[in-house]
Amino acid sequence: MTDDPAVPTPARSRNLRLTEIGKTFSGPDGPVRALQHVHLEVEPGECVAICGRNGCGKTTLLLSAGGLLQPDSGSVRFAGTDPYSLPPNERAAWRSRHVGFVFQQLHLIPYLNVLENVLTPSLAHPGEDRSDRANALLRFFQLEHRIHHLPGALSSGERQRVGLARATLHQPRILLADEPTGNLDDDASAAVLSFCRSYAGQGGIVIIATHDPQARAAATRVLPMDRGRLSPS
Amino acid sequence: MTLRHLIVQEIRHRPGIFALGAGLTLLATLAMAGSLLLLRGYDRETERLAAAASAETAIRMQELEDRIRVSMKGLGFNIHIFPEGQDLAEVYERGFAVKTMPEEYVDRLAGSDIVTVNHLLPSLTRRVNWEQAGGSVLLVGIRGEVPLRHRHPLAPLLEAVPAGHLVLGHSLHQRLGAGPGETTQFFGRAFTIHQIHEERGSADDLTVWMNLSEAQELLGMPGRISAILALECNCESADRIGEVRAELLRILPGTQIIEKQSQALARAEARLTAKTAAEAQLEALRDERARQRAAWTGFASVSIPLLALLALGGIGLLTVLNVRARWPEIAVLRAVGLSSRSLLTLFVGKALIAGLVGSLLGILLALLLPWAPWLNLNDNFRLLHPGELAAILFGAPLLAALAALPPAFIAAQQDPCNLLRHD
Repeated sequence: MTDDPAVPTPARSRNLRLTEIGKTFSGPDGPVRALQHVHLEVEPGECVAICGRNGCGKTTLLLSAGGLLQPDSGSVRFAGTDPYSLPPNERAAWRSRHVGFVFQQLHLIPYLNVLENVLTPSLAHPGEDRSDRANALLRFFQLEHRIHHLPGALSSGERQRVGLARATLHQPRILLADEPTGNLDDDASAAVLSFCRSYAGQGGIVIIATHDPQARAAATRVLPMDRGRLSPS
Repeated sequence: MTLRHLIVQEIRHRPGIFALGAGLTLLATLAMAGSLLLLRGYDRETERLAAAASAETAIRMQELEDRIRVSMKGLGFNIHIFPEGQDLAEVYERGFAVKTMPEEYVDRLAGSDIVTVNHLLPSLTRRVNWEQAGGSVLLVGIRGEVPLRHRHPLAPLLEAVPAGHLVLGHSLHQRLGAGPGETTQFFGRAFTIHQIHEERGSADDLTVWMNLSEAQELLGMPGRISAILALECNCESADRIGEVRAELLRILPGTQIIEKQSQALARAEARLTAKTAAEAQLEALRDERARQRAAWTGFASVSIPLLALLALGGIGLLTVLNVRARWPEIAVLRAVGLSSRSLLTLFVGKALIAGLVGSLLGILLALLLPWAPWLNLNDNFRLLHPGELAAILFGAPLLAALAALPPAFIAAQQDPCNLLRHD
């Protein structure tokens, strides 16, 4: 493991491959086809931006890619493993090893302070002490003065950075960020995107769901999405 | 970062829900431990009251005994004086003394300064065959009361049977078919029936009384008597027989005395009656206390399980509310790789801690109950056995955890995507 917070665990040519993914939800007006024949392959070092209107399926795509939402059809594979072929608890362990999520609403745990929130993923790894890594991340994100503060006392930008720090605590190879700059000002957005780009640059796979032009500019590849379908870049 | 830390921090964040859960457990625990304590205290109080009543009965019996003795002493008691050398066992067997003594003995007593005897009734008793009356009868020759010469003369307790007359027991009267004033043959001589006694249900019913001199003549025992009945004897000391004997032997050396059994029986019967009444009173006390206890036990056997069920339901409901309030947190924890078992531990562990805190406080409060003066438990908290305390202390948290298990299980099985997808 490296000391650089923006560096994922080294991996040898491990692509994330989504093949012919389809996902349909039942809605009040009939079935909603959130994903249709989605094919996506992302290599380590790529920072892919998925762009599209609200409700076009971006979040569903991220959740499916991250092993949280099983698609109705198609397959997801990472380093030769289909996470959906694993039992639920093993899939949870797979996620904890390989995937970091930054949720749109962040969902920081309200009663844990900043440091504890960042350390939340270590709950899945009892016995591992990630305090040093958490402190390094917080220093990197210039939050060392906030480590004992509760999320309610933080600004939007600070919360976003805490979310990023939590997502990368275990240096996952895949970082999935859902609208990571949604409520941030330009400077804060730039800092977040810079981190994502840097994470990818160090060998990580970063997929950002966004409709922020700044995010599109920061990505190595931009994929428009519309009504559950991805358009090639 | 550990699950325990997460549980503790969440409890600190939402103390109200935790306090409610602990409070419900406290109530159920207090009700259980308190009921045990109160029922045991009630039992102990019952035993104490019963013991006190028994002790009081014993004291009253002793007092009664003393009063009876005093009464008997005041009223006097009756004794038989028998001749020297008379086997008393034979007296008990035959109902009269076979040996005789001089009739002069009674005159000697009457002329003495004796103070322990009030009335003297000499008699000569023999069993005789009276064909006309159907066979064997007791013949008692009596002289009537011999007045004590140093006392003021009082009306005699018993008059002598007039010469030429008989007094018949009830059975003899029936056998002879003759009544007062009629004449009957006895020992070949004609006697007038002077009096008929009412039925007594004793040897008296087959007894014939006649003038002592005539009896001595008929039996060929002139100047002899077989017993002197001394009525209403008075004594100063508790050893009445000893006191009378000492005085009698001084005047009539060699004679023997026994107390008439009726007095002792009366005293024993009085004692028995008093004792029976006291025992009945004690039994009534026990019955009343047992009825009261049964009512309380019946109430507790319904109310405590009901309260326990309500507490369990409440804890389950609180866990449901807690799960709902923490749904985003659950989703995030699942997303970062927490297993369903860890999530289960998160909620069940919290209920377990709430249960433990509640049961601990409940037991502490229950142990304080004996210090409540109105409960009359006399500061004794040892009425609860350590095994029971341990069962309640550890059983309540386990039940609380059991109540939290269904909602926690549902939370652990939920798909976090349902929430995250709608971000």
